[in-house]
Amino acid sequence: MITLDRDTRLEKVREVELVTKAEASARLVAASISTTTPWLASALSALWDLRSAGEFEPGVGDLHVSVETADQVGRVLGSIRLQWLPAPDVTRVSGGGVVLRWSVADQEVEIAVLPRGRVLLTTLEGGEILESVPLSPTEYVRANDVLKILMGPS
Amino acid sequence: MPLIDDRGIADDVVLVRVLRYASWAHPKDQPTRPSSIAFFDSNGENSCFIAAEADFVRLAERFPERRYGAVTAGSARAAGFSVSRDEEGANGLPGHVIVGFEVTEMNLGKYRKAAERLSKTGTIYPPPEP
Repeated sequence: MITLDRDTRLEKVREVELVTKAEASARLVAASISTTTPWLASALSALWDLRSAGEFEPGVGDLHVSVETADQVGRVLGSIRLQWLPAPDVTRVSGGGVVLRWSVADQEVEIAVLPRGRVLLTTLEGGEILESVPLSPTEYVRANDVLKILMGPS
Repeated sequence: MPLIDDRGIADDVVLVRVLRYASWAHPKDQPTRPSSIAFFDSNGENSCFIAAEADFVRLAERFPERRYGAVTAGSARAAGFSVSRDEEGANGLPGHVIVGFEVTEMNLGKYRKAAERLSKTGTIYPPPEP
């Protein structure tokens, strides 16, 4: 990249990081998500961190999140159409699962994504489970209904 | 692997779970007990140690600055879990047990509620001084 030096007014060549077309595209999408749905940007970032770390720890269990499970979490997140939500807590459970949890006051919505495509939607109030139901892939959109209730009337 | 409840482990035996992440303790800022997801292993096999047999020096080496959550074998059974020894699953760490729940396609919600019930009986376990 060629720029003009502020003091000498001479042109100078600066090395810039090479960015592939795919990386540039991913950055554009990330920037767009971060502006339009900040909660989603936060969740995807946390998910990325989980995916890139974790291993079997004797005495605790397998903390590795597989690509398949991470993709499944991505599909669950992608089915949520609400723009404004609190950033979910994204954490792993042993055995390779991921738990997403949104909290507002004493209300919570939790989605557990476990290996082998198992997804569980749980609603809690004051720490007590109100309902805990498995979701098939065609039912992921049900998360929108409980998250709308969590957020209250707009 | 079918889970077998080992009745040789008495109900009053204290079992500890390494709380690997902050979110495995509740509440996060000033934890008083393990959180329910600490006992929500994806395969229903929650790895724990019998407190009286565990080597906390070695555990502290392997999991530095981690808290431990404690429940009794009896409260695990009351919540619907089994308790069985698993000496092979801890890479030489003594007193290893599995607090197990037979997870099927149909009972995932029941398992989630059992984990919640068990965690509420738990405490944060201060390991003995070396």
